[in-house]
Amino acid sequence: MFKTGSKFLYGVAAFGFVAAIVYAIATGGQKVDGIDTLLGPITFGYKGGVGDHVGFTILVVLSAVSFFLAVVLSALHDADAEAEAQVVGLETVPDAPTPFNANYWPIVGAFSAAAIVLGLAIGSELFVIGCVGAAIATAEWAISAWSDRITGDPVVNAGIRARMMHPIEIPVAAVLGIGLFVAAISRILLALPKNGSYVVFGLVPAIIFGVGILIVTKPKLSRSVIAGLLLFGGFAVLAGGVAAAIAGERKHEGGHDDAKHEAEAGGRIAVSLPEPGQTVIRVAN
Amino acid sequence: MALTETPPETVDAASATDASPTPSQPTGLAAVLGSGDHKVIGRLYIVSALVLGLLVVGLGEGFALEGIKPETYDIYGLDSAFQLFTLARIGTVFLLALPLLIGLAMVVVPLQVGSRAIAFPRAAAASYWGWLLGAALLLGSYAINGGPGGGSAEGVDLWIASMGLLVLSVLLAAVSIATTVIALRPAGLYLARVPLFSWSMLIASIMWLLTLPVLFGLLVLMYVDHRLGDSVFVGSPAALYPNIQWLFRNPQIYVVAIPVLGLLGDVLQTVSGARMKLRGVAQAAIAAFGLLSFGAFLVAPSEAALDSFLVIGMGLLAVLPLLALAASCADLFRAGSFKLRAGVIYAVAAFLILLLGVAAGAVGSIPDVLDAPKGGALADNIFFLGVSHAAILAAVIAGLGGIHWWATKVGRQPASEGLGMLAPLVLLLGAALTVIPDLIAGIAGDGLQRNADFTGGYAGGNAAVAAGIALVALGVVIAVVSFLPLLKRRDDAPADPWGGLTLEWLTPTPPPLDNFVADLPVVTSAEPLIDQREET
Amino acid sequence: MATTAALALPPAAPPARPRILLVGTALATAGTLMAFAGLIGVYLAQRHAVLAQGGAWLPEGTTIPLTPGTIGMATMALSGVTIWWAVDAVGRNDRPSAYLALGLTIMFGLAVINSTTFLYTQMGLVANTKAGLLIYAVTGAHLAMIVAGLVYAAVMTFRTLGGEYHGRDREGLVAAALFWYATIAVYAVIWYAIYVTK
Repeated sequence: MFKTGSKFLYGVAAFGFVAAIVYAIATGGQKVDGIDTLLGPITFGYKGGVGDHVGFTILVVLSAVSFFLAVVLSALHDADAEAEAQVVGLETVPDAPTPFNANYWPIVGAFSAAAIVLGLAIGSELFVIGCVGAAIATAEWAISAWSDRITGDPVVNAGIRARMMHPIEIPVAAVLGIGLFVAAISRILLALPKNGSYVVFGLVPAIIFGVGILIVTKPKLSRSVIAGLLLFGGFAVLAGGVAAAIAGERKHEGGHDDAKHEAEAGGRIAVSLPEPGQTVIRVAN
Repeated sequence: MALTETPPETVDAASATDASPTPSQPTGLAAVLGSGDHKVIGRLYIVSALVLGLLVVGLGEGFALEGIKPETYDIYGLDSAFQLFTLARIGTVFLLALPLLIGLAMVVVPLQVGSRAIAFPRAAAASYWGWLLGAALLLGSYAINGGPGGGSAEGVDLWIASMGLLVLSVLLAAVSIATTVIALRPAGLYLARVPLFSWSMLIASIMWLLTLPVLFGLLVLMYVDHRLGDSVFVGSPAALYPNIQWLFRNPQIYVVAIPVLGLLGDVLQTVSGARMKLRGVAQAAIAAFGLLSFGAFLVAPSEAALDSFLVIGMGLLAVLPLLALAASCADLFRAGSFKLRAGVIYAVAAFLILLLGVAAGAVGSIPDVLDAPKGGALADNIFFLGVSHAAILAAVIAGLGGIHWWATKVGRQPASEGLGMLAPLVLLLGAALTVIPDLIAGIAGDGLQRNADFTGGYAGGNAAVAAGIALVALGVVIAVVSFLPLLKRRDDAPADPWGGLTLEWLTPTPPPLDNFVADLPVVTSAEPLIDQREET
Repeated sequence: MATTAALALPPAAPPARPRILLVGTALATAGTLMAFAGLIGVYLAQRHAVLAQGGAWLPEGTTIPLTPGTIGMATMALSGVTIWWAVDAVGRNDRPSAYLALGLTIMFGLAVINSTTFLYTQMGLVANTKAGLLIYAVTGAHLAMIVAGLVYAAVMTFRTLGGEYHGRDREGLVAAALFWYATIAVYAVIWYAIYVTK
């Protein structure tokens, strides 16, 4: 029952509990006086003080969480192979499956997370795009995890997955891809100066035309080229979004009042810092 | 129904064919971007960490140089020095030390525990891409005048959110590594028998999982405060940094360096060629060091908290596991032989720098040994910067040492042994020169202060620190040069150049996608390859 | 022979390595709980500091009605029963009950999100006070945890529908239940520390 892994975690749990009490007493500023001193920490502050609440809470939760992990590992016999083999009713435990197939959903998920991060900072559009991307990546991830184990034949599994998902994936990808592209280009066009927008307006269709020709003339493009183009596209969307957000929309002729515009756009005012000459910033390590 | 129920096999002919044909596998960039192979992901981590790490080391060098003659040198402008200082501090941990060790662990740990894959390979891949994009966005936040002390509201928000992404990515990697050690071992390889590097990565991953989420919680709070709450909680953007300072001081900073101990144990045991009699002591020492590095409770420490019996006790006791591990390793050479290898120099150098840092941390935790710098609190003493640098540099040296030691698993052939012996010596000297002047200055009561026109700089010994950081950069470059052979395929590359004792040395060089070409031997001890040799 | 070979069905999937998902989920759950430790610790510290100085924690004119929070707590408790019902039903290969139980769990989770957002409209609490900031940060983070738990439960429901989990292997559902219980535990702490003690 108490094997190496669970012993360590029970140790952490015990340490956390004792440390919480010691820390509460040390930071409580009270005179150490028998059981009364212990009453606060032991009752989690119900019958007395616990000193520094942040440290005390973190130590108590450390103890509880480690105990939880220790119990899980105890129940699983440290997840030793012999115990796992018993679970599946075999003499030897199966190996972990080797990920033979390329899977692009992790990188899509990471880009979605990055879009969420950008959206949290600079605007809600990227946040929504990121959330949609994350939702799609989660769903596709789940489908992949399931389809990998339908049969013992990866080719058959891939075929079943394709039959199930392609009717959904292709139209959704087309709509999202075109929508995202148009939205990103519109942001960039709005941020660029007038002449720059003319250049981009001419350049982008030319690039699309070029890619189209490339696909027509070389229908068997390698997956690396496609992956590279998609990666470049992903970076371009993120970088374009950041650049556009930093630059903001250009002023339009005969435009409206700036303050009103900022309010409409939910614009934010930069936090003002004290003048460098007036402040001394002390930093420890 | 055909989709939901597994069809039974009904035809003999079908079972006679290959039961698990694999679809055509992508190559080139497509294979890298979509890879779930732990070795590919680990290599990506390592290369990215080294590139970003050199940037961070360069940034630190600028501060040290400016500190030599702060009145005349003006490398960083008044308006950006504080922001860049925070970038240097954060970067050493999140852009260099942690990803370097994670990358090494991603390559080595599944091999060491005899697994054909890492647990949650797609999550491991997502952790790398998330970390890479998080790092890019973090740098981007500074570029648009964000980060602590930044003047752009969007930049500050971006800094907080990208830090969140970095932390989540590291945690995802930690889950993947820890689960691999716990749940993917073969029969007979109990946790008490896993190689010490894997054991140290398990302890480190668990400690990261128990401490870094506290940082994530604080980042959530900072974001809500800055975005919606008019900074009522944190105050000015400059005050964001003090809320994460606990990460960079002892004991918390030690969590970065836990794998140093595992590397030392594994390397020394391999060169000794002997069974480790005090293996239980070594494992307990690594676990105890992990436990004593829990510093998340010092998120907002008061003077009373820092002077508490708990903090003093943890600081003093942290030295003991290192000594216990050293004793366990020394005992190996009573039974075994000794061969000087570059890996040994790396491991010992990393251990010595860590020991220096932890011993200094113990001294620093004794009340009244250190004085608060003029006009500041005790926590502002530059001594703690030295302790922090020691732990981080130890982790970096160990990371580089691990790449050298497991070069035939990370790459395609062994690293250059000659350059590999030089690099850790340069790194050791550089690290000592970086750390010791700050420790001495701290004992003299100097603080880390940047005053109004940033003429304060680091107090004392800045020329030595500048030389030290330059040597560290040089050491990293030498190490990278020594790794260049890893890129080149060599048909006769040895699978086991050191006479290894553990399962990773059974894989060919470079390891195939599913790691092991033959069935693993039955594991009956912590040194299965000694058992195998004894049987034959 | 060629004809029969062409009709051959693919081999059954080999048994999966057990415990990986369960161990990973336990570790991830531990990390999530530590994040809340930091958040709730700061909340308690700030509240204590204000009260110790004789101040009022909640801004004047702000109230936290107990009813929505308590209903949320009861709903979370019920969802704890239903998710275990799902695990148990899959263990008995009682698929209709399992789907019903998982559906109910997801519905209860959505109901708690609804009750919490309703509570926001009732509180009238602005975010630019320490109390408002911390309450929104803690409860908002918990809403995110509920969403994560629901997504996890939904994914496992899908995999159960797909035939992956059954009487001999219900690990994914147990893992989802583990995370969901942690979600309930955090809600219980929030309910007491924020909604009850205010």
